[in-house]
Amino acid sequence: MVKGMTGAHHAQWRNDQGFTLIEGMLASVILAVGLLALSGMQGIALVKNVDANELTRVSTLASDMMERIYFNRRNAAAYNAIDTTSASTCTAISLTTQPMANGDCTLWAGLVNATQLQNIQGTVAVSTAVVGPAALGQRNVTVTITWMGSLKAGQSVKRFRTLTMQRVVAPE
Amino acid sequence: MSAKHVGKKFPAAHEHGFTMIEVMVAVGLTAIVAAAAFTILTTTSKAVVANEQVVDTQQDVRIAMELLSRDIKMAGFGNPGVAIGNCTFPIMPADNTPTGADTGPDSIQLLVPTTKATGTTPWLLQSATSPNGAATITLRSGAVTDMVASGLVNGSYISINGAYTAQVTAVTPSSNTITVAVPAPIWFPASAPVYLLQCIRYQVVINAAVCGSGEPCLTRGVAGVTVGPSAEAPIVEGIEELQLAYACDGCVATINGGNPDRIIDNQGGAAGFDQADFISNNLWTTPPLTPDKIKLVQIALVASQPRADAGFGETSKLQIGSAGLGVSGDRTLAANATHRRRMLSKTVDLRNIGF
Repeated sequence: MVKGMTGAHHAQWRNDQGFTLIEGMLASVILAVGLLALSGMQGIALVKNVDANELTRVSTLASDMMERIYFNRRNAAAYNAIDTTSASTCTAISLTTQPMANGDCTLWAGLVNATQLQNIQGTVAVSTAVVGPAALGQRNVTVTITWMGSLKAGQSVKRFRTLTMQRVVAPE
Repeated sequence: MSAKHVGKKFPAAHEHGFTMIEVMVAVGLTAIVAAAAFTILTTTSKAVVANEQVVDTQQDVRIAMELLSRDIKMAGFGNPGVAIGNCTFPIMPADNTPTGADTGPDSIQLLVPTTKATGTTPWLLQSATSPNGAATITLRSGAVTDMVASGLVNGSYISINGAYTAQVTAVTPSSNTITVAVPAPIWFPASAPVYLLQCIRYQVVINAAVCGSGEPCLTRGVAGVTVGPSAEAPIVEGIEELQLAYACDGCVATINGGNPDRIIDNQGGAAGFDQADFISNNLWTTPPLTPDKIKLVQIALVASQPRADAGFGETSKLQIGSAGLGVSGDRTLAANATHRRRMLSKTVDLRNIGF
């Protein structure tokens, strides 16, 4: 055994230097970066949950307005141009001739704003032209909600999200 | 051994190895990296638990809203105009405390159709009925037995094809027939669905024997029935709160002579339609304020996560009834610092009542 350590093998062994401190530190930094990336994945999962929750709340809100319009379907046209960011769109609806549309507008704007989602805006568009056979008086109702979504993982800019719900409403 | 020999044969004597400083630096670095790795491991496992809880809670409240709002929309389908079970009216509100602020969740009973369109024993007509009228209808094999298990008895009301409702006068599971008068010229094609009209109760229950765990759940079923497909059984877990408010038309004698005019009657005093017109505190037994006048229902549901937070808690102070949430319920839910909550509220138009 002792004999085997002589010669070329011996010389090679003597030249082994091990890792320097710099090398070791570099390895640590690389490992740390890797671990950081790993923890970033948790952030992605959490963001997806927040996204899903926002979408559920917003689609519930949109269908809330659709139900209100459906109840008052004879006066669907009165709901056109509702915009939750502008209170005047509600006051523009006559309280005496369209009390339901007026109230629905105010109540819905309250619900939309109570979500406290950033820059949330709910709008209603009702087609002036009737859809399909004129005798049915059907109108196309579109409820759109836009809001600033949560921060996407790995991005510093929030993104706008939009939900659109569309339905044909007939007076009867 | 000569010195030369020693130098050649035992080279280790000339190696320097690590100094103390080097070893300490190496150990220090390893400790930092290991600590970081463990922190990430524990954070990850906490995050996974928190994530699952959030997903469950969000799913619970969404599903509960979906099921409840669908049944409320359809309440009164095929309504024969008589009391069925506890349903004197197609919708029977039951406020927790009709005289004041609630101390618990509301419940509701609804007249809804039950059918089975798929499976081995679908509730479908075996053959078309005669245009000259029929005294009995024959269903697919096994369907009548299945319907009896779900609560079909002599005297029940069924709706055929959603178009014709009649009272059953005899049930014969052995021949797959139901005795029910179908007068001419009414007739139905083969495979027309048969609906059993039932009075279904939705309520929030906190009972480990029912819910399968200590957490509250939402149950659906015929009130008081404990066995069979119609039994009150948990459908969504983790539902902590259900608050319902009702808007009615034709329920105030002084408005439009007490007749429905497609404008929700004013309850709050203030002119126009506002949140106060959704009634959350009432027995609905004093005419003209009766359940058949209800036109809109506002549902508020709260789900809470099954277990306390494992360290990733957001201090959830969600309360029902506070103005900021815009919910019409009359119960203030105490804040809960350890359980996340998710709340949904929605207004539903009743499709089958009135108009």
